[in-house]
Amino acid sequence: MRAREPSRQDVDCQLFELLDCLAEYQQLRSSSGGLLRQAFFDLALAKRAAGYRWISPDLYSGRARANSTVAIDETTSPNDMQVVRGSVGRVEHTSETSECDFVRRRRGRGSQGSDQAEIPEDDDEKPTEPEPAAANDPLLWFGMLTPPQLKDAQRGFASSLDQLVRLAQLTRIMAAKQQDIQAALAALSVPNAS
Amino acid sequence: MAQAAHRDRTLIAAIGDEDTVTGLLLAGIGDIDAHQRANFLVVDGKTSQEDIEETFTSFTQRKDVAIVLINQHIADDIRGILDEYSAAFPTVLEIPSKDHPYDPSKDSVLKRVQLLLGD
Repeated sequence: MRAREPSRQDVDCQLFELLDCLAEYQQLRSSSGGLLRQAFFDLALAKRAAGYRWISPDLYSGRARANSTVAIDETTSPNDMQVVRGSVGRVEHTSETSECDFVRRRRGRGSQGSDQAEIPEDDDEKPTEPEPAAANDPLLWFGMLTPPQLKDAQRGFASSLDQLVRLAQLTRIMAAKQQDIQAALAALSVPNAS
Repeated sequence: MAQAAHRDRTLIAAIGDEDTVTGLLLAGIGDIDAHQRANFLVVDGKTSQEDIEETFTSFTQRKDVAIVLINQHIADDIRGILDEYSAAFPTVLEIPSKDHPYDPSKDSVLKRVQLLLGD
């Protein structure tokens, strides 16, 4: 069965979609630029307040684990990307859920076949996880008493990171659309040339 | 098989000046694995172009990196490698720095669109 050849209307539609992406790209470039500018300003204020040698690359932790990662959704095409807050390899749960899961696992080992959702009356053992999110906060690399401007800078960079990930996503979408349009244009030009 | 590899791509890597990398690390992207491989590079006056190229290539070859963020003025130094790079993952994005604001005329994404539209 032969695939339907693209018409000029299809190409027009793809071009409009590309231009929509381009408009969003430029808008995000502008807003992320503003956020980054403010975050750089806050970082400069924090450096001035804390002292330049207290906020420098020398203090980056050698055991750093990413708190902000990307989740790629493989069910969409092109694959959607989203920022995920939380350490690598650790699924984010509320403390209530984690404790429940821990209890279920323990009950399951002790009494097979019984209702695993049953919660015991006494609970001497404390679950070893989850580790408090604050313990992984990169802000702590720079000391316990960091200036408030550093916290502002952190907030600004975190907000701009969300937009940068969306920009990266748009970059991929636009690249894919350009390839489609070029292929469609090439297919349209063949009958015209003959 | 390729899709399974995409699922493992979770990290955001960064190549930038001190303030950019510090900010992105504050945002939580910093990761140093068991082999002491960091996902970030601070570029200063002493960093050679070869080091930047080598780091960029290693980031793009890593299977756990989804996005590579690079300062636009540093990207200019390795423009040849960047222009040749066309893989979907990891996605490379040029970002502004404190001293070098975003310049649309150097943006490779906009350049490609202009080329397509014949501007």
